[in-house]
Amino acid sequence: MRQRVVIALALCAEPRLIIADEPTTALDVSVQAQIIALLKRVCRERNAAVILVTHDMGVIAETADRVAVMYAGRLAEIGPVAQVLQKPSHPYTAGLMGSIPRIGPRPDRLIQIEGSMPRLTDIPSGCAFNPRCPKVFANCHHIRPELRQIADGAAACLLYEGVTQ
Amino acid sequence: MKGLKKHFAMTKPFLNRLLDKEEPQSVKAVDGLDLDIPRGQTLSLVGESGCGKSTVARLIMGLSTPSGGSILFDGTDISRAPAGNPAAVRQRMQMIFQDPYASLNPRWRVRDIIAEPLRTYGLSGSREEERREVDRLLEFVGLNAKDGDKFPHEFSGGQRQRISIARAISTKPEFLVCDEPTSALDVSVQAQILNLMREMQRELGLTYLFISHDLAVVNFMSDWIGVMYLGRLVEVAPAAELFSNPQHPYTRLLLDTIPDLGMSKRDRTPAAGEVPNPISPPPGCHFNPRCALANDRCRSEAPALRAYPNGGRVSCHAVEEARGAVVIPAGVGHSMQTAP
Repeated sequence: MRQRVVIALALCAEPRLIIADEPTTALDVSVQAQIIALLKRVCRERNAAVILVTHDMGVIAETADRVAVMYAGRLAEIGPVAQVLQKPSHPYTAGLMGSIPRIGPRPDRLIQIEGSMPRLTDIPSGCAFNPRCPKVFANCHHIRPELRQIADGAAACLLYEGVTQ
Repeated sequence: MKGLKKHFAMTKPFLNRLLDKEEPQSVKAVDGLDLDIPRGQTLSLVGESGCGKSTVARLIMGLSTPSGGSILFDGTDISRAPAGNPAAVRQRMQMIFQDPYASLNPRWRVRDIIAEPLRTYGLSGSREEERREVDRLLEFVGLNAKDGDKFPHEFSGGQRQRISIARAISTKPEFLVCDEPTSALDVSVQAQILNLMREMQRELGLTYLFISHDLAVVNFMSDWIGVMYLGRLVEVAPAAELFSNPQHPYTRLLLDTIPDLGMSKRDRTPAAGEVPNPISPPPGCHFNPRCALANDRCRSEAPALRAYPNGGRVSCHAVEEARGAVVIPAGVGHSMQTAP
């Protein structure tokens, strides 16, 4: 109910862009579904754009058209929701997707990304993800990758630079 | 240990009823719960906020006293015993809390936090022995023995939860109550903690009561799942059975509302309504105002848990009468299968 009030507040000036920062994180799944449905309906009806900030992949899958994955202050990958979630290009996105528990047969282990986020005052040189990356190679330690077009999206990863050794 | 048995009902009196001169009100936070947790397995409790999951955890650990019923741990009734008593039983059960920021004393070194249960129960011998044990525990949960001299603020959320786990297993417990241990964590960190908990269960033969509102996490962790609604158990079943063949309309609603990673941009069926006020729950089945299958019986008579051939127990008149075959009216928009 409180989140509905907040949505009403956000809408009262007829905005063209709504920034929703973790709008459903504190909510139960059943209420979360209501809020997401409300947000989607409102955007359709008023033709507003939404930046949805969340770490809940399920909400992204149902709500977003495009997803941008951030790591240590930079974009790691961006693209249409189906491409990023189902065929992730960046090893970080792939790790994130793998670490989500799913409904279905019960595995013995979840895929996990080893280590933890670097402190933002101490970001590794080269690709910030290199200490945790399963596909790391020499160049990753000194070249900072830029976003490169992949299908309908883009990823910042040296695997796609053609400089693999 | 043949299995843990708990059966308790409780009503919580409101503090300020004296001041307000009102009739005594009560919240039936946990309203007559029957549960067994077999040794070495995991039973999860799921349900929306306020359904009484955490209260169950607190009752088991002796952090609050039940108003009725009993809690049996390996045959010993501990329902009236305060936390920490009797020591011989309580040291065999420990708890991992939801918030890794609030559950560690910020002024204590990690070494002292982890050693506290050992000291409380008089399990540590010499200082040297205690030190070695804490080092071993730190390494067991994937931290460095040197981390013992640091303070909690020097660690990330996931590392703090590892410290909580090290503390919880320091007395070599057999039973762990885990109250939303990963809800404050990111998915990547959550995967690390859940993997650690499963490994611990395999290596140490632990029994878990796992509390969560995330059904995918529960699917990964559980052998058994209990679904709670407003203080009552509406369905208990083997985990695979509950996901493949949910019986209670509330369980189906919960499963329906899980965000689906595979079906992009599906319009989820939003669950109509919210959980009613627990002080004045609706008569009969608490779920009846939100249930598409409700009839007059549901509005007057509270259903009891009945055992079904699939190994589960369900409290629902509609399931009992096989009323589930009804096609749900438009707006809810999907049909349900017939109950066995």
